[in-house]
Amino acid sequence: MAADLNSNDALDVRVARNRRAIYTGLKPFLAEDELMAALSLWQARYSDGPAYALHGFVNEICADEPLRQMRNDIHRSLRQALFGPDEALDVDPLLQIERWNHGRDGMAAPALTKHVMAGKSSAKPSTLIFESVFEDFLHLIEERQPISLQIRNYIDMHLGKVLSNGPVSVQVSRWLRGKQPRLDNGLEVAEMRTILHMAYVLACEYIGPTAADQMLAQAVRHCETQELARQFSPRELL
Amino acid sequence: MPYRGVALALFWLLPESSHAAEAGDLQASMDTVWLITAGALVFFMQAGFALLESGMARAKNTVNVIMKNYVDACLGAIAFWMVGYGLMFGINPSGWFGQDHFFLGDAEHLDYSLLFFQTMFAATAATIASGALAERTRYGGYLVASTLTTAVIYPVYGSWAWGSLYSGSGWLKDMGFVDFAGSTVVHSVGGWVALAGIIVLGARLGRFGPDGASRTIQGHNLPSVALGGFILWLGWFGFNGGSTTAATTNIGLINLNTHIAASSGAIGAMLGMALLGGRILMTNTINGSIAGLVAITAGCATMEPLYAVMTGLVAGLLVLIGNAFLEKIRLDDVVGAVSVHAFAGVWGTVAAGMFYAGDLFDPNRIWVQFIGIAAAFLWTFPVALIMFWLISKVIGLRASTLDEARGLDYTEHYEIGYPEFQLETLHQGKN
Repeated sequence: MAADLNSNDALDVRVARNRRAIYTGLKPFLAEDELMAALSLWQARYSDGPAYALHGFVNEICADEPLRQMRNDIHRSLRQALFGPDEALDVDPLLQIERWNHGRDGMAAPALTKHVMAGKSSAKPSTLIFESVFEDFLHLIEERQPISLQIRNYIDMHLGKVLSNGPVSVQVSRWLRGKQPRLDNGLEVAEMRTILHMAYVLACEYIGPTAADQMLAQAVRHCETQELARQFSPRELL
Repeated sequence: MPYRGVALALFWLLPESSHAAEAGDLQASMDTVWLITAGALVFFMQAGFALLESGMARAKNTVNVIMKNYVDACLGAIAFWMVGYGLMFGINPSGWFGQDHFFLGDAEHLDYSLLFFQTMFAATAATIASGALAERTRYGGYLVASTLTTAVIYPVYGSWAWGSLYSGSGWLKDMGFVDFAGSTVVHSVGGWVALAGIIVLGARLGRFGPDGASRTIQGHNLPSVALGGFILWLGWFGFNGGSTTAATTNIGLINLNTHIAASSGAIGAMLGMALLGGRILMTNTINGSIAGLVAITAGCATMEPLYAVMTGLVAGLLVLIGNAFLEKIRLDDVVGAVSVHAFAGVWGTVAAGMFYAGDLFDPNRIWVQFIGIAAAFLWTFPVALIMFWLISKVIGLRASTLDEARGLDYTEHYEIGYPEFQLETLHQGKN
């Protein structure tokens, strides 16, 4: 029991530290309202993930112009903040986020907020879980060896063999290339499974099957901690 | 104690012809007891193979490896009784294969004992390939290959080298080929089948990188590998000692040679590792001892202990060289079966010719040994290659990458080896 409490405390400290880093890293690029929307999104969906799992988050907040142009800079800024010294970070913005969330009802939401809310409400659990497992898996691989881009490109090139539906194929291709932050609901579970398996096969080739097994397991376990996993088990994708 | 005195007194009171008959019966009984005990020891080797091979595989394939070992022994027993024994030991007028004693029944007691003992040998030859093919072979395809090996491939070569137990002989046996308990007949044949299998199958996913680099895939349970090694070693005392097929006095030399060759094999492998890389791996050490056992199998009855040591030492070194060679040509042998059984079997068969007691380094004998080795390869390897190729086309041999990722335990058997601990097992079985 004591060990559980200690591990929860440690988790809270880590999340608070990461929240400060996200706030610090995003501040130069976003207006106050957009910044709070982005932090709310991070808090809701990405705060329990590994610190380095930024790709999905950055894609999501940079879906529209002009942020899309700044995606690389934002990514770099976030990484610097996350892995830089504590002294360089702003104070924890938790209270500001909560205040913003309370006051948001009835107000005109900024574009980013609208996008985030629309994406969250319409996506099926299976789609969200697939995105989460896939992105986590690729980030873990990237940490070991910088090959996630090659994996994305390979899958993109072979989508025709997996997906018969043209519009869905185009959409997945855009998502893989980072041109679309979220997937729509057109992808079947069997197709998601095949795409994830393609990534696994390439991971086996490049980093070895044992490491690939461990990373896929880690990505799935992480995803299982999310609320959504109660509606759709990530193991359905394996 | 008093009963024994009475029995002895009664024995000496019997006429002399009765003494001879009694002694003959006693010898026959002792022979049978030894043969059956030795057969049971050889059967126990299946447990050794199962532990060693499953330990060297990943946890997600444990059940599959053990099932293959378990069931190939079952199917092999039936196939050998039906076909294999007759082909191998039946009346053999041509010298190429036996022609009767199929579906053995209504026979002499000794025939049943011999069939029992030889069935265990056949199962050993067949199960050698299972370790090499582990982690990516479909269960059904493997069983077909294993059964055909027991029923046809192994017995036909065996009939050449060991000849008939009834009448006629084998052409290799007539040339003077020396393979007392089967370095070539059992182990090289099994090893060549394994080689053909891994060529047709291809490597496990990720075993070799895109740049050609070899990548070690660690086994999941090294204590199990060690226990498997010990069990195989113990079983070999029945394998070699039992090949006298009688309770004779030379079993002492045979099993002493067996033991010291295994020890030397382990030492040879350790020396080789120290000289080559400096890392002394337990898996290679155990494989070295098994290579020593394989190598001494041909000459254990006809060689002095000093030469048994040399035979084992070289076999241990050979395992390392053989494994490195296979990796270089990108062949994926999960447990090193080709090196341990095929390559060490070849060396042991040559050594049996070179170190033949009282006739050392006789070039004629060594030449015959080479003929026997070549015949084993030329019969076994192409036939096995065709067999695996046909299985891959007709039944299917290679598991899909999806099944390989999920692990063959679930995809082939719907069970896992360690349900409480196997947190890495992610899949939910075959769809």
